[in-house]
Amino acid sequence: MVEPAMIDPFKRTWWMPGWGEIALSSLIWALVSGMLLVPGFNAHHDPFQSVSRLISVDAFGYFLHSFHSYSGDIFLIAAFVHTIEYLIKRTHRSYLFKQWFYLILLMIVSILAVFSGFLSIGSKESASALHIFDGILQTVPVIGGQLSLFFIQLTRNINPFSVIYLHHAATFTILTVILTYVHIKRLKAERYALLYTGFLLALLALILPASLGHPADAVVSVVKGPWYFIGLQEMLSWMPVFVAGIAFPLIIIGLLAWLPQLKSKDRPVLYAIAVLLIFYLMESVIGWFLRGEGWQIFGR
Amino acid sequence: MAFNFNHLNRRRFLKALKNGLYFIGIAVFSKLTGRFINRAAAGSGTVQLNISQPNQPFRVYDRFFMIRDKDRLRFLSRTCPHLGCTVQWNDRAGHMACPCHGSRFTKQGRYLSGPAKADLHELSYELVDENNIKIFLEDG
Repeated sequence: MVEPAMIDPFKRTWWMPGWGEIALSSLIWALVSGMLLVPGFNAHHDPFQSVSRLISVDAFGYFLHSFHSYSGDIFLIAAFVHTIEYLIKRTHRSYLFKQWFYLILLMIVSILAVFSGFLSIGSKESASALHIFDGILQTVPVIGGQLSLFFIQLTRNINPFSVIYLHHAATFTILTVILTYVHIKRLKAERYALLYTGFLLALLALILPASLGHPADAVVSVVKGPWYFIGLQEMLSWMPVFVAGIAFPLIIIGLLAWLPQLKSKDRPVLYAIAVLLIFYLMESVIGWFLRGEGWQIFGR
Repeated sequence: MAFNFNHLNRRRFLKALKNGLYFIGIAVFSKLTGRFINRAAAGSGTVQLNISQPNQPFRVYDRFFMIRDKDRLRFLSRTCPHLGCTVQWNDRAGHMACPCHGSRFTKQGRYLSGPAKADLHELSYELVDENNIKIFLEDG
């Protein structure tokens, strides 16, 4: 009896590059567009005003800002799907712990690279997110205060946006590039993938200009963070800060790190990771669609 | 065949010494780095405010609320005690609310609901002269 062929949700089509190539191409486009944005961005005085001016005085600046913003988003999405694809294919079984550890690090710095870019803008949303990030770091035992000072420095001596911008442009970007090279031993994307991703990003930037958020002094009834952290924002509204902000991500990271050791007995851990991610997705849906004014359910 | 215990013990000792030196090196480096980071960040700020304007019982400033209760002035920090977002005044509802996670406070800054679990912090101030006061903002 012939068994029906399994449906492979990640089966490559002729017109679409692999998710890993899309992630790498997005990273390259983010680097290029980010470098072009540097002269117009002033993180020290009023970053929000500099971005507003950048997108209003020149149509290309408007396009470039959206392009850069979407390149970070597409990078995260493609890297996530790429990760899921290879977890399902159980490729972690062939990794040595050191190689796998570098991949986990790459995942963390990639998220921080994109998030720190969001924080650098100086909008109402990013200012609130900066405070929340600071509050979460402060709950880390022993070194929480130092971590907060290292990454953010919420004091009146220094503009915190300039600090986080430096980490975005330097610390996290450099680490992401290095760890990407360690992962795939190259930084050159396939030409077709680069063109495909560039075209996709340009189309998004033209059709759906990326939102800048509200000015820092705006009066708003609800503040929503970036889409990938809405779930965390929702969890923080009802869970202790340490559990939502530190323990929950650490559990996922710990389970991922454990996988290569388990070899063929990895199924329970993979299911546990899936359950946690589905839970996070549910929290994201609640936070995105159901939370309104004052972060109340159905608040208008 | 005689087993060379001396060789094994010497190897173990050198390995333990190497690991111990690594540990001491990391501990010293962490301590120096932590101290350096702490020193970079000190400071609190103040804001000077002119209070000679017409008496308003309640006013919203960038970093604080001003409440005038008969002749007593109070300044409540707009930093939410939960995770530091800026609390907004909701005129329609008659209370203060945090737009990030939904904490609510009365007009006097008392905690009502949400994850904050604490009242808004009251800021201290001192008189500069009869028309001006200096308000001491908290860090961050």
